[in-house]
Parts: sequence; structure tokens; C-alpha cells
Amino acid sequence: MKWVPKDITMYKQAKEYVDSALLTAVPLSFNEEMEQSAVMNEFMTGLNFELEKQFKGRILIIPQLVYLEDEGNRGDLVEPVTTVLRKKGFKHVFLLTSDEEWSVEQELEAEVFLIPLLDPETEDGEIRVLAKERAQEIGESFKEIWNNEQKNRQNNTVIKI
Amino acid sequence: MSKQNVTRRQFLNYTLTGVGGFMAAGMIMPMVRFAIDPVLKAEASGDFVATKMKVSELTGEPVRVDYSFDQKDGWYETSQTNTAWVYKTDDGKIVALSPICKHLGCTVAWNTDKENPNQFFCPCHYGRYTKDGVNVKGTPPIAPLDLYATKEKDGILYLGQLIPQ
Repeated sequence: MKWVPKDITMYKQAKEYVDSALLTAVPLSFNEEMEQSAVMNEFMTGLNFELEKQFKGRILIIPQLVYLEDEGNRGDLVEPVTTVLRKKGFKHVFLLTSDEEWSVEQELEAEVFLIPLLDPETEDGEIRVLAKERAQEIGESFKEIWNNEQKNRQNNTVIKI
Repeated sequence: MSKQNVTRRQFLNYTLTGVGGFMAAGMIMPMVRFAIDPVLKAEASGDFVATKMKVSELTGEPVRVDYSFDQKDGWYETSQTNTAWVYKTDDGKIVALSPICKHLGCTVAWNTDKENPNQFFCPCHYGRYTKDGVNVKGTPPIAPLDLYATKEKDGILYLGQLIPQ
């Protein structure tokens, strides 16, 4: 579900089914990295769109996290958000980023998907095609994470019986 | 001279009839237009979009068919891609199902759940549908998958509006 009034109404009625939140972090940059930042922003928008289409009923898309590339500790930036999301019942918080500094954060309460940078010269149409392919791969990872959880739950039930 | 004589009374009669006629037409025309509107509209409502799928290539196994069309969404005008799962029944009828899960709108796929082969499967909450799109009891969806209206033209498959089953 997207962060738009129609989907939020739906979310409120079906909260118990929406157990995953999708966060995206692209650093703002105004120096020579600006083109790169713009390409990644477009790419991430594409990923969000495709993943939302595929998993509308289980994932809530959180509006993109804005931060500056030289901003300090990445964990401090996102921690308040993940804490709230956990409290609100999201069992999984997926974080899409291509900023490698996120990967060094051990204590992030999120599953970080480190997306390789695209060439800053990539054309718009190509970005869309690449986003579609990459979204399929990421989607498979999501399914795996969910399936493992499902299996664990079933195992637990068996043990209890 | 006398030929061109128009009396004041005639002149007023002509103008009043003319203006009155226009006013009456102005009132009646929209009413007539509204009355016959459904007749005029019927043509436009059956919007079929061409896919790249040849009807002759369809088999009994559902395949993914993507098709694109221009859509206006808010202030964006984009080329949107939709998907359908299409197959031919034994008696040659074409069945095109919408992949949108009737539970919460995820995208279902054919035959992706190993434990339940030959069914449509929703990865979000493990909803399942049989080949004809009917929801399997005991899984979250509460309605069958929507059907697309289909049409064949020059051997190419056309998809139309969604029809709830």
C-alpha cells in the first residue's frame, strides 16, 4: 500500500495483514554526486512502484527518508522511525539504499537491501527496465524472509501440540 | 419599392419566431442528447487493448500476458503495463484472469506454490485460486479473480474491461 489516502484507509481496515514496511534512503547531494543521486532516486521510485504492485496487501510504502550524504550516524537517522514501525506492529522493516554506510550499522532494526549504484548516465527508460528486473529479485528475498517466518511459526505450533 | 416593404408587425414576428426557436432548441437539444446518451456511449465503453499474444499460441497452461496502454493518473500521464493470466479451455474458450488478489490486491502467479501445484498463488497471505480463478476455501481471499473481456482480431488477443465473477 502506498502512503496515499485511499491506501491508508485500506491499511487501517486490514492492519493485521500488513506486517512489513518498506523504507527507502537516498542521500541528497549537490556536488558532483548530484547526477548519481538523481539516477538512484528515479531507480528507487521504480523499485517502490514495482514492489508495491507485487505486494500491495502486505507492504506499506513509507515516504522516502531524506538525509544529507555527510550527515553522521545512519543508525541515529532511522532508528526513531523503525522503533515506531515496530511498535505499530510491523514485524519486518525493509530498507532499500545504495549508500554503503547503512551496511555498517549493526543495530539497525531493519533488513537492509544494499542496491548497487547505477551508472549516472543511465537513461530514464533503461532505469525503468532495470527497476523492474531488480524488483523481481528483491521480491524473491521478501518472500523468502516471510516463508521462513511462516515455517518457524508452523514448527512451533507442532512442538506445542 | 413596394416589394421590399416589411411591416413592423412582420419584422417583429420574424425576429421573435427566430429567437424563440433558438431558445427552444437550446433547451430541447441537451435533453435529447441526455436521453440518447447511453446509445452514443456504448461504443466507447468497450475499450479493448491489443496484446502481443497470438491466440493460436495459447494452450491449456495459463501464461502471463503483459499489455501496455496510456493512462492518466492524477497529473501523470503514463504508459501503464497490466498483466493477465491467459489460457484456453478444452472447448477452445479463452480465459483471461486478472492477477490482482481479491484479498488485499497483491499480484498472484500461476503454479508458484510447490505444495499446491496448478493453482494461482498469492505470495502475501498465501491465498490460492483454482485454474478458473475461484478462490480456494480456507485461504484469505473471499471472491474469485476478476475476468477480462476478451476479443480476437487478426489472430491477436485483445483484452477489455474487468468483469467480477
